[in-house]
Amino acid sequence: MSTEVPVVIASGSPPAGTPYAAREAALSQHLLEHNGFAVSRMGTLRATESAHPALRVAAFHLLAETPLDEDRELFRHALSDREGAVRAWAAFGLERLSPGAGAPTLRALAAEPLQFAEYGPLIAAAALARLGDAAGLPAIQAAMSNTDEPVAVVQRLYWFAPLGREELWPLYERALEDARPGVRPLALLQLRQLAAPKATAVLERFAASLPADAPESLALRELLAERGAE
Amino acid sequence: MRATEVGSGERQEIQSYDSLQVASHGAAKQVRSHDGPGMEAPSAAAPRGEGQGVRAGDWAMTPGLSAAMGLDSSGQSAASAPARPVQRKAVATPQWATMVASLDETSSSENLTVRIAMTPGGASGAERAGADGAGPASGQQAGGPQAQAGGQQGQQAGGQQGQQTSERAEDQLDEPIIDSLDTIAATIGYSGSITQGGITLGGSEFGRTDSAPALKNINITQGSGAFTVTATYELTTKWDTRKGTGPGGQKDIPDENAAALTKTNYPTAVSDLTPNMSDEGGRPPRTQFWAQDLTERHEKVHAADHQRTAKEGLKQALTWLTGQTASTKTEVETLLATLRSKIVQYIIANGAGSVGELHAYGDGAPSYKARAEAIKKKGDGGGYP
Repeated sequence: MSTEVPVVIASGSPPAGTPYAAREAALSQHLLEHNGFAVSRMGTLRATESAHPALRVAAFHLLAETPLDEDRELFRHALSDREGAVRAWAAFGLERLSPGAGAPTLRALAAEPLQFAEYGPLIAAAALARLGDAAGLPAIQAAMSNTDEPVAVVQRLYWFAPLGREELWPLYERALEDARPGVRPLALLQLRQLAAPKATAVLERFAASLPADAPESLALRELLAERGAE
Repeated sequence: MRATEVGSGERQEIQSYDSLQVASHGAAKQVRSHDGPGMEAPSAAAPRGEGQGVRAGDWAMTPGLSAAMGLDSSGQSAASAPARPVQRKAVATPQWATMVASLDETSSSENLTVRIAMTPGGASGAERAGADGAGPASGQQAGGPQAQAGGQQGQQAGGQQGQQTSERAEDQLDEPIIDSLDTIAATIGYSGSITQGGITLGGSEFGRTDSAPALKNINITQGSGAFTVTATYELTTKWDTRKGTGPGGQKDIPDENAAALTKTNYPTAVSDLTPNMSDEGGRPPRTQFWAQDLTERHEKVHAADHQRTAKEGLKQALTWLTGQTASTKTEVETLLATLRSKIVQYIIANGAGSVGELHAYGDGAPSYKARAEAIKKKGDGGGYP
């Protein structure tokens, strides 16, 4: 019988004021920290060798956020990892180090069909967006209509905002109407940090739909008033 | 003095063997292609000191890491590549396999009998390809053409010799090696528990919730055309909070009548306990004051989210598992390893990671807001000494 690789699933908050762009990395760091890996580059490198896919995903995520030249070979090796999410982060890191070296893998991954608990395609789609490539947007649009895991999709919308694609905002509208756990708060968190006029318009429509005494209502009105004053 | 809802060390069974089952479909008798559908071997890398009981900083540089960093054991210039998980060997399906598989589609017999006129040359080529295929790249590239070549040779030779051999084909040739890709019927019960205590809080933490998954009581049996798997998926969730004083010396404010509140500090308490809706869905600043009871509520939301998403994940994972096939018990074990990983990643994605804090702080925001407003009302009315 194969030995179960122990893992601790730890809930934890990113530090106050963490921007959305850094939030997911903070959560990956939190996961590694509570699984015995030092909060350091060495700890992260060690986690890339974990037998648990979730920990490898977190480790390669962190490395890809701040890739160094010496990571290049590690990224290349990870392109054949059996975990799609690891391949996606490795390709992103590699592409940032060597333009053209990771993009094909990202495009291939982003075109793969979504499967249960396999986030490689979504990570790849968002990574392409971060590189200025909207090739993953159709996959995100399709996923919004056809997934049991809307959180994993909404989590990535943020990265498409800088591309200025009109198709993005209806996805946020739908996310705000989605009553499944976590979907609306995640969309709101992103919209609050997006300064685009379209984001403000989406927030205005949403704020108008809230009961006046809801905690979110007052805060949104304040936020929108600040934006209007700017 | 307040009473907490769950005392330290109290174990609260919230789910007890709530069995989830997805029935298998009919057995699929097929020729094994040796690069099974989505099958991958377990990682060759053993766990390296990760998991519970391992403290941050308690590690040593592994050879693979050293290599990845370009260092040898002394920290200098190693050239070898880091050890990576070994991929399952993939070998192209021999040509005869395709032929047999097509026969199988119309066969209603459990005991499949294959009768193919094939010359020894063709058969040997195919069998060699099936047996000797190497790793992922070479197997696909070398095995495929090799098998095709064998098959072509066989067909070509058969054209010349077929008349001679066809009459005796049934007797002359061994039956091709046929492995059954059996379906999987899985019954995996769910057992979840939530316990307060057993958490060592970090220096800046007001509270934390950890969960440890385990697949236990695994039993795999192979029947006619199907593996039957029974097991129990356990998720042990522990949570805890600070007691009385927050991590930065914050004073606990259980309600607006707390003795710690004065006419000079109550505005700070109001500010500290007012949820900041722009931060994690409503995180209160808590610079000098905190609320242990609302933090306990927060951690309980996390605990419930972990359990809920584990159960959801198990249900979806079972659906996934019953869509897989396996030839051996070992392959079933590999599938179970993947199942475990999928559930963990589902919990992280949907209950613990990106949305966990948003849900927990959002859930607590009305309570924090109400407490802050009650303090303000009393303070503004001159109610504090």
